[in-house]
Amino acid sequence: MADANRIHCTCPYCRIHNLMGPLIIITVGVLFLIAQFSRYSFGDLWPILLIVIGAVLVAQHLASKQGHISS
Amino acid sequence: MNNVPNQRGSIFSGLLLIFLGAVFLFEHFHPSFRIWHYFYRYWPLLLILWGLAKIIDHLSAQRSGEGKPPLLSGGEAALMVLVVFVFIGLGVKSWVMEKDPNLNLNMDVFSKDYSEIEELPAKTLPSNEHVTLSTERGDISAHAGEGAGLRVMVNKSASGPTESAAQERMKRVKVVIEQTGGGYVVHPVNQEDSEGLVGVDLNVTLPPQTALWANTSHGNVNVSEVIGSVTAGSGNGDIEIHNGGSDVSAKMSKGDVRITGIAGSVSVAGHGNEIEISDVKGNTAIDGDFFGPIRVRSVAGTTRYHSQKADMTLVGVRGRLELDSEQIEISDVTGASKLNTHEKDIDVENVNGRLDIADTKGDIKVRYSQAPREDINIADDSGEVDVTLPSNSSFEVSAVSQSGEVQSDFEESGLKLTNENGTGRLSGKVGTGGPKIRITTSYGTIYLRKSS
Repeated sequence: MADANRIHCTCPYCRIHNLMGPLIIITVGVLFLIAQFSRYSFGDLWPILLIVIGAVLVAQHLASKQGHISS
Repeated sequence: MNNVPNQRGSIFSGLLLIFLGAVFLFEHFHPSFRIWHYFYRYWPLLLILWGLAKIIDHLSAQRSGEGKPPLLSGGEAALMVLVVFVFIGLGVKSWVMEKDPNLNLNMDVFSKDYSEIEELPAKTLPSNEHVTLSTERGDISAHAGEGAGLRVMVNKSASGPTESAAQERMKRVKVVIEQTGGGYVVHPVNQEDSEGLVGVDLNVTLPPQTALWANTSHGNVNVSEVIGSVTAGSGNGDIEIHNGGSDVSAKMSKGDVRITGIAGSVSVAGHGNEIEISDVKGNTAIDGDFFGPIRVRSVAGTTRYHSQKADMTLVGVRGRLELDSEQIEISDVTGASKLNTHEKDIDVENVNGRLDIADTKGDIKVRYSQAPREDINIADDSGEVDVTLPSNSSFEVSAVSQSGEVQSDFEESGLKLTNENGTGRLSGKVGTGGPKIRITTSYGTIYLRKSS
């Protein structure tokens, strides 16, 4: 039953989709942290961000949409 | 539950991003890995990746009963265009860097480069001393002068927002001459600061009898007139060594090598672009992957070349050896020559010793201006073989083209030529016999020509 409030879909596809933003922020944070404590700078490590985004997109694609509620 | 078949994003953009990230990461930590050259050669792999991604899309759409994503969505197309532009950009960058390796591409608009020159007090060295010159960033040039003096001119360069800031950076860097158990070491101290590396060029005059070891991580090395042995290393630049009296070795990971007039042996190892070696009294060894062209002229000893794509041993290159990614040219070798390669065209002229060639997917041309005195062995796979011998040659021949024919200008009665069932064969004796000529190819014509 749809409420007036927005319902958050909890199918695996949407869960992973919703993880994207937080994961990017975490990755950026971790990369900057590594840059502080190692000889690598963010300029050396930024492609890892691309890999993380790519991995999330792949995981999202492979995830099931069972139980998906649109909007 | 929503029963309308909805669709999900394609797996393609995810895979593309992972691929791109891995490529950038690898390129960054292996600067000598010229990503552009590989993209130029392997770009169709992107199409394959695209196709594979679409198959996965199709399968998962089938499995879940959802709609299939389009062949190429707007976002993916934009991503593809971006990838192509990034690679073209990398190509332009590597091209510019090759033209001018000292160009600083970190275009920092607020920073300017400043430099200053300093001369260290001269030192008198005993004869036959070892001298090590090293800098993390900057060129090294070392020339033997007269007398026993070691003179070091230092050219520092640093960037900074203001001249005084740059000067402050340069002031902290000191170049020292240290006497160690193994000889003398000239190197800068405190070259690295929080801003990066201060450039330190070393311009050195040393006694001719010195054994020299020169190494720079970013910059060129230029050595001349040194009678002792010379070992030069450059992480990101060119190496030039002229008129050495002893053995010379160069290690590099980018750039060109030019070595001329060496009384000892020469060895070049690593990765880079062009190599030019000439007038060597000893042996020459080239080991590594160089994009070429590689030119070797006049080496009295043995010339050895080893790379992923070719192996060669030539005894006494009186003429020249030239090779690039497409072909190998050899002329006037006094001794035995052995070539083992693939996907290259080979052109050989006048080898006095035994000649052994193994190749695949390349055409082979061999010419002799004098009758051959030693055996000739040519094994090709998918390629034409063209051998030209003077009309007064005498030899024994056996030539087979599995799927092709054999044509011969020599029509002596001792020869038997058949071209049947798609296989060409030539065998027999010309003149009084003598050196054995064996030619095989799996696909392609074999020509045996007579020169007038």
